[in-house]
Amino acid sequence: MNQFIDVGYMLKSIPSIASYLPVTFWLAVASMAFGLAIGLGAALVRVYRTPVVRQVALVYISFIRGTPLLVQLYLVYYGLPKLINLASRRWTFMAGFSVNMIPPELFAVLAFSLNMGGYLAETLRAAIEAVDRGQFEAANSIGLSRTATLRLVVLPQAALIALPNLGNALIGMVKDTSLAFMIMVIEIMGQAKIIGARGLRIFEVYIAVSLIYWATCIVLEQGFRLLEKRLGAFERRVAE
Amino acid sequence: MIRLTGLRKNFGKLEVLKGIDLEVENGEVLALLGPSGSGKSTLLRCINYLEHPTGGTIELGDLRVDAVAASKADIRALRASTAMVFQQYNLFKNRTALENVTIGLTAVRGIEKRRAREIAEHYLSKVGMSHKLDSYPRRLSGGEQQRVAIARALALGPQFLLLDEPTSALDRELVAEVLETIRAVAEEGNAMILVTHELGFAREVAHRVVLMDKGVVVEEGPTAEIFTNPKEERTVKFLGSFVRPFVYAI
Repeated sequence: MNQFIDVGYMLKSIPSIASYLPVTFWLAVASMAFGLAIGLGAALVRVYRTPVVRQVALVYISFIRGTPLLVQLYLVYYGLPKLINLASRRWTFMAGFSVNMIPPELFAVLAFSLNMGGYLAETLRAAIEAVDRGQFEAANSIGLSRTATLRLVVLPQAALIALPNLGNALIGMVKDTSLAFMIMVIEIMGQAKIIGARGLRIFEVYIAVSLIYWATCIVLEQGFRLLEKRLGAFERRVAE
Repeated sequence: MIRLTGLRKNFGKLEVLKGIDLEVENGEVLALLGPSGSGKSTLLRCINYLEHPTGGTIELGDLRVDAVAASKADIRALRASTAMVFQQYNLFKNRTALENVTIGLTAVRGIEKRRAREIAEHYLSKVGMSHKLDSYPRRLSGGEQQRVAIARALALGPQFLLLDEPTSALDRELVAEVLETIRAVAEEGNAMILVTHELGFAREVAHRVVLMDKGVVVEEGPTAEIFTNPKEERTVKFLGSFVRPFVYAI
């Protein structure tokens, strides 16, 4: 018990912690997916200067970037139940609904998605604006609608421009899911804390969990590198 | 027929087009000449609303569009009967040569995929690009890209082809292949408005020439007349300014 680090305990704790990787994975992927949808909406509103909605988007982006993720998580976790209670008192169709029916994972995904959306809005806006003006003009000149222009021409090119940043965002999200334990979601960080407390081997489990995060992020990095290569086929001058 | 009446365009306080009256007949090849900054490209871009004119009217066949009050449907109609070829080609970078041509046919005209492919292959073979259907623009030379762009425009069957300095961005040795393509298109009876600095080429293919300077039409007339017997001093000066550097270049 007095040795500096109990390697055996650390190794033994890895499978048990890693068994919660799916929770971490789904938190990150779901938040990324919803975040992309929110971010794309906010980015388009900014690019096309939609009145009123644009102001809302600006305040939203500014708030998300200006407050810590942990605070946003608490705001959702403690604020949303209050809103739901208020609503269930006011509208009868909400009457049978109890806040306790909502799993904490849902609060986490909601908070993470909103956070992701705020950051991705800027990433995607910059990427869309980096697409050559001539591409928009050519699309206009052949009569493509705005939606078709975005879907067929602009967004595929913007996606490639944004890809490195999207990769970074997903990797950041995977690591940020460790905050979810603060609202009782048990993912790999949560499990590490539980095991660590049980065996009084705190340092060992933190090393174990850091190795798991690290390995996950290396896999993601490689994945994005491959994706970039695939999506970027049209940018290459010579066939491979 | 396209008829522009009193067409104006301001960029802020800068008046780029100061009331242009212009008619182009069906099947006519019109060359729009003039020094840089004379407003020729802007005029061309106003016809299909890539620039929104500040005043005047555009008539296209039976359609009469008040430039300022143009509805979305008006703009769609103008774009449906014209097709633009750009100086910088502007091929869709994420689409192959073939897809660049089919995209308008399927997504705008609602033509079924297989038929769209046939049409696209037909026009790409016309411009001599049959051998590079599946190449992305990055793998094509400037001349090849411009030929694909011409096929993309032609495939939509426009009443008027609008060419905005189609050879200005090309390396000298690639200009000929694109001019050859345009000549073939013109000889087939396609109407076009051609903004160009290739005076020799304009002289060969254009039925009529319009000379612009500082946002107004200085002179217009049949090609031979403008080149051999220009009436306005500004025309003489403009045509003359092209002869000297050309001679020096040789």
